Amino acid sequence: MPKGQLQIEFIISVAIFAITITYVATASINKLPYLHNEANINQMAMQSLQISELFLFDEGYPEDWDRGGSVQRLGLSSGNDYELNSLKVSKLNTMCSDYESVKSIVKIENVWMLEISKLDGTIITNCKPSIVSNVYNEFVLNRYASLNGDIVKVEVRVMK
Amino acid sequence: MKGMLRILEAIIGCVLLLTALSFFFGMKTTTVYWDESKIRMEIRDVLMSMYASGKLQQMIDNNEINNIQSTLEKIMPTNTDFSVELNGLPPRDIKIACLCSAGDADKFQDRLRDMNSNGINYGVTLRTITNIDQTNTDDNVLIVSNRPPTQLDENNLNNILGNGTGVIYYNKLTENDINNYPVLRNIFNLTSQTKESGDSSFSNIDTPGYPAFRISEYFNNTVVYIPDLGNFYVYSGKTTVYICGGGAYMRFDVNCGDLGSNYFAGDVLQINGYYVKIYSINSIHVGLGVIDHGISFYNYFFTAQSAVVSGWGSVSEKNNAALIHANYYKNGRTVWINSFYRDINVDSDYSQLLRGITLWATGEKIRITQEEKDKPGDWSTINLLMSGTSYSHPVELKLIFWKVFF
Repeated sequence: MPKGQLQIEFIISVAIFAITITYVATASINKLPYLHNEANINQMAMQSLQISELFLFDEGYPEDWDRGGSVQRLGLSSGNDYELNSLKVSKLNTMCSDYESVKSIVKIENVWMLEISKLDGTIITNCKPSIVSNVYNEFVLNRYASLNGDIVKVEVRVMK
Repeated sequence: MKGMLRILEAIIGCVLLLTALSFFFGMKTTTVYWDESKIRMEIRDVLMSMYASGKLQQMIDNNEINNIQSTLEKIMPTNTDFSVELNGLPPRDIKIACLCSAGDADKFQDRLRDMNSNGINYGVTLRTITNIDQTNTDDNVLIVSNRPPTQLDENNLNNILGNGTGVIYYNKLTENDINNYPVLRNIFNLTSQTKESGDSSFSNIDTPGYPAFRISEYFNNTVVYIPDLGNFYVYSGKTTVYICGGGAYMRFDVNCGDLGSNYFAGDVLQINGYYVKIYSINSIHVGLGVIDHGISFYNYFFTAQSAVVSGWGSVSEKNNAALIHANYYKNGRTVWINSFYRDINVDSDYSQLLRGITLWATGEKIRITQEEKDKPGDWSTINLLMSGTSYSHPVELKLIFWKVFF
């Protein structure tokens, strides 16, 4: 065989190997966005659950944070399960005019929104950033609690 | 030949490579089932919120059970359907099919009229039938009165009890009856013995899972109305007392001014050998009067003969013979009672017992969702156990939900 020429068998072998490598690489790369998206959804779901549990079942710290002073942890519970304190709900509504300060207390990195409304749709508290982009992926979790004897919906949205 | 071996080597190498990397092809995140978890969480939240706000107990106490359904309908996702049951409380409107004579039907009607237990009013609709296969699926109780065991078709009773309808069977049974008719053993769980007689008292009242626990409680808290006298919890002979202090308290002696025992509403005392609790004192009548009273220790006596062996299902027994015997069967409940009721007045303690038995035999189940729903094979359940104001025992709210489309 002249110098510089390759055997046809060698060429076929290399081609088979190259096709296999390409297939493996493509299949793996195509899987990554799906896995990334799933991981994001799970992360947002976990964070929305954390936020909802914090606001529904925790009284916050100090427990009378609604009376003023520095707030170290937010919580809307009256101390009884599934019962919100109306003064704390009202105070949170006031605080939410400065969303970033509330977000810094909650310490959740992703953008989140909290809306408390009656079952007829009347909004009681709405805590959200001043500008919300529509390109976010979001996870919505609805929780329910009692406020002044009425059942209210606590909607938590986490976006990424 | 050497070149062909290279190709073979390459193929083997590729197979090895694919095999080694196949781990990454099946790579996926852990399935968390957020959709189902969210629905479960929302429904549990709503039930707990209704309970925390006191609305759930209020709806149950005021018989506003449709409000439970409408509240749930507001929050349930549109792709789900549900049905709700309340276990532990009898339905407010009890439907009874009675395989009995017109005369017996009238007596049952009289004894179950204006029924009130634990402060809850119950309405009774009673209709007579001529064969047990005429029992409807929405009947809560079937009463078979004074009919021989030949009229108890086991297949029909299986279907009736399978539908959740309770069966009360009134009849004096002999040892031969119990030995010769398997339906009495299989469905009513009766076994025979030599007949015993005497005063039988409530039995098995300390074990919550046994029928007597609940029946005796209903007996104790069920009012019997006596014309011109008032509501009585237990009435066994008139208790004549002297109402004093403008109806505030009572005494057994004529002279209210004497030094001695004054009894007030809520006091427990002995009358004719029974421990009774005074529920209220007639405040209108001053002088010779009567008091509303109920037993406080459940040890009430009924007189009859019985050829049925006592056991866990005995509600009342004497010398190992059961006067009343109850059983759980399929989705329903059965009670056998000796025929003691027919010659007893409407205002007797036996009427009070019949009321307690009827309430228990309903299955103590209220289906809140009005229409019968066929649920698919894949469904989830959420149970809420709660205490209430007008019922002394825990009540379970059971919500079953399923997806109608995905």
